[in-house]
Amino acid sequence: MSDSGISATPRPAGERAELLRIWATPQGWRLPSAVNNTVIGLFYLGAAFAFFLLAGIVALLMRTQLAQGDATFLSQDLYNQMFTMHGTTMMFLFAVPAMEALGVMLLPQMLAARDLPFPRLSAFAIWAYVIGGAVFFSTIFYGLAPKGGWFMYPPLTLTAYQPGDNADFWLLGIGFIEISAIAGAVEIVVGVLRTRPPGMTLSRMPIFGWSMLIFAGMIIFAFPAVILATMLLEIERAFGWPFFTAARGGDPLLWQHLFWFFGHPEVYIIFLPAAGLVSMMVPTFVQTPLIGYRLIVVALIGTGFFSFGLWVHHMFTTGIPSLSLAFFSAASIAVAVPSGIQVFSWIATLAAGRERLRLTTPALFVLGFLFIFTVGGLTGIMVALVPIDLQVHDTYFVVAHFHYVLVGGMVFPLFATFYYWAPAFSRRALSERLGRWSFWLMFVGFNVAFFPMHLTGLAGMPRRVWTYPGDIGWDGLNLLSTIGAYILAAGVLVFVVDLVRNFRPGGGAGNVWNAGTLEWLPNDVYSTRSIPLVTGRYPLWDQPNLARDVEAGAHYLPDAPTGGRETLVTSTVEAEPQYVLQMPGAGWSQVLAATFTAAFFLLLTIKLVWIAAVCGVLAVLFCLVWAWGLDPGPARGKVAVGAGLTLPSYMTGPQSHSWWAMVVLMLVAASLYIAYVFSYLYLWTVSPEVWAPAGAAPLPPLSRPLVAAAAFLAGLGLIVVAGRSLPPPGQRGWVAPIALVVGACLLATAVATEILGHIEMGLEPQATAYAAMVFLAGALAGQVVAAVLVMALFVAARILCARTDRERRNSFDHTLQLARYAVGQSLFGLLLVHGFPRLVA
Amino acid sequence: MVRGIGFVRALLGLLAGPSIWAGHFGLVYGGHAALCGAGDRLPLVARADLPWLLLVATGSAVIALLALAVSGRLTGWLIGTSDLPDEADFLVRVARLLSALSLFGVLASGAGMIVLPGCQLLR
Repeated sequence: MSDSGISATPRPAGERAELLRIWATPQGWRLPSAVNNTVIGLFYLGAAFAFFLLAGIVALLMRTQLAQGDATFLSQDLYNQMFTMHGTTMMFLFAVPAMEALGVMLLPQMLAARDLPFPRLSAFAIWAYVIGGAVFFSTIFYGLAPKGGWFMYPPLTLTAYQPGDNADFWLLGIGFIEISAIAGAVEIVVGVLRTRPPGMTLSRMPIFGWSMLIFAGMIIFAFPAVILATMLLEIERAFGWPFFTAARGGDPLLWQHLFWFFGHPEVYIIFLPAAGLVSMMVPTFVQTPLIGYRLIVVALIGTGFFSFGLWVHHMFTTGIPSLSLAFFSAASIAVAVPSGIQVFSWIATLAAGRERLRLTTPALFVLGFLFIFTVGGLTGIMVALVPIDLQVHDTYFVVAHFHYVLVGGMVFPLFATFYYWAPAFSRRALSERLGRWSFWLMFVGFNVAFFPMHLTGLAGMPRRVWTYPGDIGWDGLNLLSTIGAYILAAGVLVFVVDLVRNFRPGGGAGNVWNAGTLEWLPNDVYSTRSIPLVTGRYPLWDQPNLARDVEAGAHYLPDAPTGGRETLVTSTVEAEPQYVLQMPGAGWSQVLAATFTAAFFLLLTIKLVWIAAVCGVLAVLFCLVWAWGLDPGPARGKVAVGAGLTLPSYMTGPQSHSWWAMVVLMLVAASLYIAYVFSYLYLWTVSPEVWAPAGAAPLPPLSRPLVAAAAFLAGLGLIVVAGRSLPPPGQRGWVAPIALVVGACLLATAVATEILGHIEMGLEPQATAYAAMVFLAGALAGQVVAAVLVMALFVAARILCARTDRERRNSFDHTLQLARYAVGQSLFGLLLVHGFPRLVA
Repeated sequence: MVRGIGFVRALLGLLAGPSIWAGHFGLVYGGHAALCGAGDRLPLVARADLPWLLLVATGSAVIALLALAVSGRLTGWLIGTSDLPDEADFLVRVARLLSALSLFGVLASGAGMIVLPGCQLLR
């Protein structure tokens, strides 16, 4: 009997060999087709770190330029491209991907799942990011990099002030990175909520699981705002729809609202997973459970929420009424409370430890993080106060503040993570000696580089200046910052040397820290030999024989009962086993879909529209090829999963993991639409007297939206009928596919009816921001309906090939889910576009 | 098989406090922006109604959050029950602490309206 209460009976010979065969990683030129989380997670993290190094080199070049006044080491134009690429790369190509990479690598091991629930989706996200990110970064080598700052404010970034393709590379280049981030978020939400091991209830979940869940939730609600913002700006640049042009009813501040609604939570999107990692490491350092686990969960959730109430603190100087500023100033101060809870919890755990803290390399990096992040937090309170912010806005004080927060809050924990978890993925641990050198160089270098910037800023030096006069007293501080930057870079270089000398992927060096969580169980390409029954927050401490029992196959799923890749799906709160999830293995379709997705966006940038369109079609085609092999159906029936338990091998409806993924995807779509509604109403509050402007085309008669609404409802009705007409298992049918496709076509007709109505009335999207917003509602409805149409055609083909029926029906159910959402959004859009102007007229 | 807590209900119960904070924040900021920007064009309300609207919104949020933070029974009812009592207890305690944190956020945001005028820039 094991210490989990599971009886340990000897397992049949050959089970381990079968697991190794099923989960084998493709070798040689086939390696990119791999989907195992440890392999692609490593690619992901490696790529993110490479971008960190590249953006760091760019920073060193900028610091060299600023080392003395009146320098001409870099041209002004190149400097502008460099600070834009530095910020953009660090935020979009390094920080968020690095955290998602750690989620992909660590979460399945911490949850003892065989893999994340959608392995090919992770692979798609990674390849889109790697290919697109590499091309995007390369623009700096041929003078095509964007130069509007990482936040790309209009009107500076409008065509009138920035002609050429540079800004478009940012606007479209960020597109696939956003897709990649959202794909990762879907994976993480479903993975954390549905693939925990039996017994790992929410109250026993590792803090990193909580932090990644909140991280993913924040991506779902924050990224759509910047997706909409980039859409609007690119549409204005390409087609002249004046969302940001004040002379035609637009407003450049709309960009700032949308950008910072994403941009401020982004800081916490980066920080929360790092804080989660620290909460995992600190207990191991002192061999004591985390003090205040419940409070840390509260702090993570509270920070996630409060971070959405801070965006206007980036806009304190834009002329917003003082009372509104007070709301945001208060929230900016309030967010310090949950951050403080975490800091005190870590200090309390260190103080109350069963063992004295040993100053190993990861511990040093965690202590460095505590110091630097706390200083950044204190200056954060300062800039949250409106009067101080008015003084230091757009000065080097702010540069110092956010580097203390971001480097302290994310980079130092990341390096701690590298040193702490390397033995779980490498046959050799990293060097303690080189690690200490790396830490001290980075810690001293960072503070020498960035602390003087507080003073440079208070002395009045503005951000983003290419050079400055040499005789106004800024030289000394700037030279000091440049020296610090080179010391910091030396620390990173020592780490790279350590990595090259000691990191050897595969296997693992074992539980070298005597940690208590599941990622330190013995594992191989299939993750753990069996999936454990968990009885506490630190299973390896609470269940001393767990590693032995798991390795002996005494727990769940010690074999492969369906003959393929699989993991356990458990209930969301209590982690009760529910079914066996059958997973796809290695393949090329997701790699090709990612390649063509990146090509689509990048070719659009350089106006190769037709080739881009072909790439877009190919991307969709390969997604469909990939999806064709999913939805395996209930043919394998119930299977024995060990420990005397039998579970279904297929699930439909709200219990199925793919149903949850669709819900997450619809939340993303809804967030984007809410950002649109905000934009519509915001532009109205800015210029209510021109909404709709005098002389503009009138709204179509009410009969027009009523016809469109009827078509939407009829289309949805037909899709529901299609669901009731699905053929019996294994058979083909004609009624369902016809009803499905006709229903989807009716939805498309409804969208066309709405858009044509406005065109017939003479409304032109280029004329005013009002008109542009009206057409954008139609375009957003068209976007979702187009997805429904593609899915409907796909499912119709599956029905005709006897791959979708009454029981094997996930593909259909997800189409119906999206159709319901599309109709809901479209009906609301009709109400807004046709009702609101009449209401306020 | 354990009789478990429904996820959607647990999520809504867990996040009731922060959701009230978010609703209050959206309402006071959105209402303030709309009334200051276009108060004379709105049906039913006018710019002069701003202080009362902010007060009612903040007062309602404070009462709701106080109830959630103080009453374990109310929060427990929102979240639901489980055959694993420790699990329900954990969620209820987290929810109550979140409500207390949200109460601080609402009071901090609401405090501005005591000392600042409605729609002026003050600089």
